[in-house]
Amino acid sequence: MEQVYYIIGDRKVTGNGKDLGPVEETAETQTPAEVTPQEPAPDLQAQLTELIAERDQLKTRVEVLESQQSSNAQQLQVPEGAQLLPADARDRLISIDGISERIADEALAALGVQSVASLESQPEVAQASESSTPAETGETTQTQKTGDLPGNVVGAGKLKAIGVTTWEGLRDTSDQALADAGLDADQVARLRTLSS
Amino acid sequence: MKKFLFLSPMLALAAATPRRLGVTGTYDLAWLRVNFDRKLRDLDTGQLLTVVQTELAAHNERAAAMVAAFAVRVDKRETVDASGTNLTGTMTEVDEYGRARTQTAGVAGDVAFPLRRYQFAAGYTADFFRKGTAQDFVEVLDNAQAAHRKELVKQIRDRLFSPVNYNFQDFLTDGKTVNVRALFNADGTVAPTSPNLVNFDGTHTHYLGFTALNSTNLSALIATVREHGDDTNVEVHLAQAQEAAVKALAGFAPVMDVQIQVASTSTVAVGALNTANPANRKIGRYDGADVFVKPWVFDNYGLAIDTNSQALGIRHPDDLEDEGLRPIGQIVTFPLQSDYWGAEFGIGTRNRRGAAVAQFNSGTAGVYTDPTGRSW
Repeated sequence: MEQVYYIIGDRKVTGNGKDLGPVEETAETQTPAEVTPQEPAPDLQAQLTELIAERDQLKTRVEVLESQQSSNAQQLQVPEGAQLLPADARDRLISIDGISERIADEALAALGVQSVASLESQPEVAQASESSTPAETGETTQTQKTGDLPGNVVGAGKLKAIGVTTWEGLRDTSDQALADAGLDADQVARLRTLSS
Repeated sequence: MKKFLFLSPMLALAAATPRRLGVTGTYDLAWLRVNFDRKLRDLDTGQLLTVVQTELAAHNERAAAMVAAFAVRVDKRETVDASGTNLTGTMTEVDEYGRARTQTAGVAGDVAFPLRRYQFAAGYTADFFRKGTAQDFVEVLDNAQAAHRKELVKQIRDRLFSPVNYNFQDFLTDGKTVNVRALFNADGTVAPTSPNLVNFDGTHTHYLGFTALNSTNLSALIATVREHGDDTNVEVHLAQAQEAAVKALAGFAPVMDVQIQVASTSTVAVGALNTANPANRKIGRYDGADVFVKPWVFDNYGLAIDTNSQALGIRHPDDLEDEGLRPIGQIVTFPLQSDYWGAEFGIGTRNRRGAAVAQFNSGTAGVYTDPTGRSW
């Protein structure tokens, strides 16, 4: 049976006056108003759902890129003559009465041809367009996210605490600010991936 | 010319003369108060002596009446606990040739009472006696009496609220060391079997630690006293700081001001609320016990006492003349004079089941913290 004791000053004492030692330090009780809310335990199910969504998004993006690559390859296979002027186009223009060399050059320049040599380099120009961004090439299937952040996004509570409630706001917020808000490096990296 | 030390022989005489206890005479402090503007030097020494003796006798009677609610006079330094003995006997069923084993009752625990000496001193100058009035002298005597009352209250309170036994060397008699007990405090002493045949063990305690003052805990405090007898009359004493909380408890019936008409649907206790002294009065009735607020109870603590069997005993000196407050000596060194008043008494527990105390703001349920600060 546990020894019955009383507290006298800072000592535990039995009814017979035997000293049982000092009173142990105990956690100071707090009123509900004083209690600091603890960080909620991570919702693993939500994080899994989020990762699956992220995976699907990446798969879609891969498909888009593959489609774009196929389209560019088809452009490269277009016969040169279909879209390009013949190599002797300048000579032909000059041979026409009333078209001087200056006018021929201006006409070719208006068509984007600087010189005869540039006509021969058209395939390289087309090749270069392959590396341009989807936006530059008119692609619109892959765009940055906009609007409100979903409620289950990584660190949603901390983002809200610093006033970040939209994807745009997230992109405008520095990594340091996110770190100051309590997000770790992994969480920041994931947010960057999601918002890009 | 009168000596400015005219009180000196008077007090010496008072100290040496056996006093007649209980005497009420013509001259008392009221007489002095009536003659408040008369100079001390003009008063008759014999009259003053009579006044002092009479007044001290009356004071000691009042003090005894005050103490009687908590402590009874004891004539022995050590005795057995008035709680009684533990009756553990059992009947044994036998056959035609059977013979039961003999049994004895338990042994009652011991209790002891200290005898402590207290003094109060008042100092005067020669001018005080030359120019002082009767009123000034009354104040000195009033002060000595108040000091005596306060010490009585403190010793009673501390013995009730301190949960530990302690050793006391009886230095005023033969020097023997005795163990002064608290109420039942889990010191291994087995409380006697109750009238309802409930047995207790050596861990039974009357020092309760609660984390709040609520109906359950207050009832538990009362039951801790009541469970030991079948003729208890329990009073609960609380600090005034707990008055509002206890009045809010379900089942509490308040005593009402007689000048206030109470609704017929209200449950109230019979009696009249003392509106003159809100810090020391009966405030109601709860769970079959009268509930009082008392100025000497520690805040957040409560006391339940059985007024039919006082928990404490008060020990006085063996010589009857030494009992109560009395003048004991004087030092005269012109121009100063000191008069000494003394009292010897000691408070101990005589009936360890007769009271229980509770702390209502304990940090740990079941753990009682001593509020007295006494190391004895």
